[in-house]
Amino acid sequence: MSPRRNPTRRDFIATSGVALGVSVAGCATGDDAADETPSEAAPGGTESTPEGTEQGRGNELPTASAQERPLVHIPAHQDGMRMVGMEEVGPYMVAMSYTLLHDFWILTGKEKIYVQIEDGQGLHLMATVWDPEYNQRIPLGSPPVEVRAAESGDSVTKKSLWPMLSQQMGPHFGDNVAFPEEGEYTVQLSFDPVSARQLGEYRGRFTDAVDAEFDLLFRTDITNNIRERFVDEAGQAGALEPMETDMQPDGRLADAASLPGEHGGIVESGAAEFVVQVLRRAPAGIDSSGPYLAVSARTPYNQYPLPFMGLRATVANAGEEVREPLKAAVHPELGYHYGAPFPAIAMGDEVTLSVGAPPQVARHRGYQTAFLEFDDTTLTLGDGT
Amino acid sequence: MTDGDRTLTRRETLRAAVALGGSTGLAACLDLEGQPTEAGGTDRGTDRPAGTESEAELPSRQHAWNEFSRTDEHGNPVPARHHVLLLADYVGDGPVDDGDRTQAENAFRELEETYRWESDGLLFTVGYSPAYFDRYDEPLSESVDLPQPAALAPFEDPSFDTPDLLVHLASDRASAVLEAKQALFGELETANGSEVTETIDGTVELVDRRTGFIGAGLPAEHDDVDGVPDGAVPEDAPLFMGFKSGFRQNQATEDSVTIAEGPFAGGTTQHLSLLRTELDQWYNQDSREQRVAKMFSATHAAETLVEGVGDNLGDSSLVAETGVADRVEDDAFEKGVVGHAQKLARARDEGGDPRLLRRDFATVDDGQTGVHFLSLQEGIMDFIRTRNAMNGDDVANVGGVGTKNNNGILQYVTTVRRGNYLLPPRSKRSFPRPS
Ligand code: HEM
Repeated sequence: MSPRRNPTRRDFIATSGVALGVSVAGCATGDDAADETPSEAAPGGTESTPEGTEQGRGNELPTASAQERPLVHIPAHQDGMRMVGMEEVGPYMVAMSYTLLHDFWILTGKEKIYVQIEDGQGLHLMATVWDPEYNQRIPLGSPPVEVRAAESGDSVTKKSLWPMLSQQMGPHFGDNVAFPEEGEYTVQLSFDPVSARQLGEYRGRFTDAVDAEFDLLFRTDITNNIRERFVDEAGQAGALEPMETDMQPDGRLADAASLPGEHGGIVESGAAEFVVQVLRRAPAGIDSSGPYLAVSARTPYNQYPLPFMGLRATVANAGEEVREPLKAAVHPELGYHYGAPFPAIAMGDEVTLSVGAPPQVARHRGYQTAFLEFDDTTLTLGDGT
Repeated sequence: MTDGDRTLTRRETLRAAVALGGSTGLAACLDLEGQPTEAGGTDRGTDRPAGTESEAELPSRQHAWNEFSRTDEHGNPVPARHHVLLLADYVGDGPVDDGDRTQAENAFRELEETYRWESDGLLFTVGYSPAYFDRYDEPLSESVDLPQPAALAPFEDPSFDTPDLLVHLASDRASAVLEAKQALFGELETANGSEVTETIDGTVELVDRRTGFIGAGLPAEHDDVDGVPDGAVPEDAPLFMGFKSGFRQNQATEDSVTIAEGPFAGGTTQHLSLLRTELDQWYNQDSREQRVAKMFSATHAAETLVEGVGDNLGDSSLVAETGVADRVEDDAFEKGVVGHAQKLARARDEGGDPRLLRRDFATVDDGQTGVHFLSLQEGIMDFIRTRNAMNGDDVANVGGVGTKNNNGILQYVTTVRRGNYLLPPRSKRSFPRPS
């Protein structure tokens, strides 16, 4: 990527020569706006528009370039972020940060909805949560957040953050929040017990509800200084690098070579990678002492976990077939993965993976067309893939 | 009546008057109800029916409301539009004296004589908490399942209501619920044209007063509070989340929630919770299909079974007819979402009937949207079972469903208070003894 001036969002609006309303609403006028960004903007908070409907597309046909674009691609701009604070609560480290208001897509089943940015001042709030002992990010569902004005205690917003995936932040929880005015605010987050299975050393670790609180100063001169860089490779296959900070793990899962168990292979579907491992003994927390099939479903390039997906495995050996849903689980070395015990599984078996519901995480730009449609894929365990 | 620089409509004013209470609220209501109604309005005109003089005309169950309510074109009972909940403590310690018991009964009896027992007049119930029964040496009869309120999900942390009694007043007329409260507490000389001579004043102390409403148009007119984006609620929605609820086929009958045996035969139990609703994402980010999937089921969304607020459904939400109740786990896995009604239909009894008779209504108490979730069931265990089905923890790690995300409407609803009560039969509604 060639060095160039880092314009702020303000500069962008000033120099791009488009009407202000459109720039703010689209926030992506450069690259991928045409196919995904609805043309109608409605005032007041973040708004969604059904995608693929007349209204959603603003009667525009998808552009050819959008159709050719790889499922996982580099978005048009890269944003800075600001850390609000970090706090250790219960078994978690929680980092609260924010960036400029962002557009994104939320998913219910396969129904994808574009959430656009609205006029007005606000921030895209983000929380990342990890276990400080093994540095694994922990999937907590949709944590409730309440923002209050520090002085008056008046509630500014109360909602649940969406589980989200972005190329720079990896898995996090976030949403846009409008702030009525500059000033000091408190942000309170609540985390429900983890619903994924907790395995190995993680057994019983994430079972309490905990709260975290942060002080946040909202000032437009600070937000205006959040850097945005326009990326030349926009639209090409690839992903922006994970945000580097010394303070928190970057959200990548371990390489296949570092995962526990025997490596069964890697298959690809829906632009996702599925790393297949067989543990000779099921980890603590699984009601079996036999072998355990673990599938680490991840994004290409950045190797982020793909949570909240329906994943099933069919294991075939000499005409015998066993079909089981794989349950989401967290484990210190495997990280977030899907797994189930298969008493007779062994290298040489054929494993077919099929996906039910696609990963129910909201997607930031660059991931919005990926991880939605999956074909069944089969591999022979240990066959060199 | 005005609210800042905005002129309130008739319906808004009536609701606001109920929330305000007191003589000001009542005067505003009576004034309005004396005027002709707007077209299509159902806050009815001038003549309020006279009370029920003959006790023989009154049902023996306090909760016998359905046959005294209007029904819609599909045969669903239409809930009264305006509601007041009065939480009160008995003034004495230890067992209630007979004098107080008689005084209370006279006051309740006088309410019936003042207002016709129907939703156009006044319907009310008087319930008693476990805390009330603690004053007696003998325990509450074992035929009644009435535990202390408790948290019912790992993700909730409600406060518990422990007043001695809960009076629920309901009427299509805002004036009636307001005036009845004042009559009951001896704050008025006349009510509905007759003299007020009996009151419970002096025997109880009011600890909280809550208000609410349900019915087409009322929520949309009160969206100027926290928890719901302005203008988002459909004009004809009866509740803030935008869908009709309480279909005949999806409700327990009054018979089935009635306690069959023991000293409280003919009574029922009542659960009251306060749920706060946060509907910013519901209306601004979720699409209509997503809302239908989360409220009903993915099948309802895919097959467009719900039109508008759901009037087209007739007298059933179709959760049984479509078989979605048997597909909760499959839907979590394959579709990534399970619906509220779909999950709740798993909590039906052995005969396949719902365990709860829901009489919940919307509120904007304290300037926030919410639901006073009031339900009747034979025992509180029926409520707990049903609530467990709503929690959906069995699917919280199946496919695309999380603890709250895509798990019905859990993401949008927070339980902040819970309380349990016994509604004795009418003959024992005044400070009942435990057995
Ligand atoms: C914000 C709060 C709530 C809203 C807006 C809501 C709304 C609805 C709607 C629209 C339906 C489908 C229509 C119908 O069957 O009437 C329904 C069904 C139902 N709901 Fe709720 N509900 C809420 C909370 C609750 C709670 C707290 C419970 C009890 C734990 C509950 C129990 C039920 C039951 C038992 C059914 C019927 C299921 C069956 O068909 O068997 N609801 N609700």
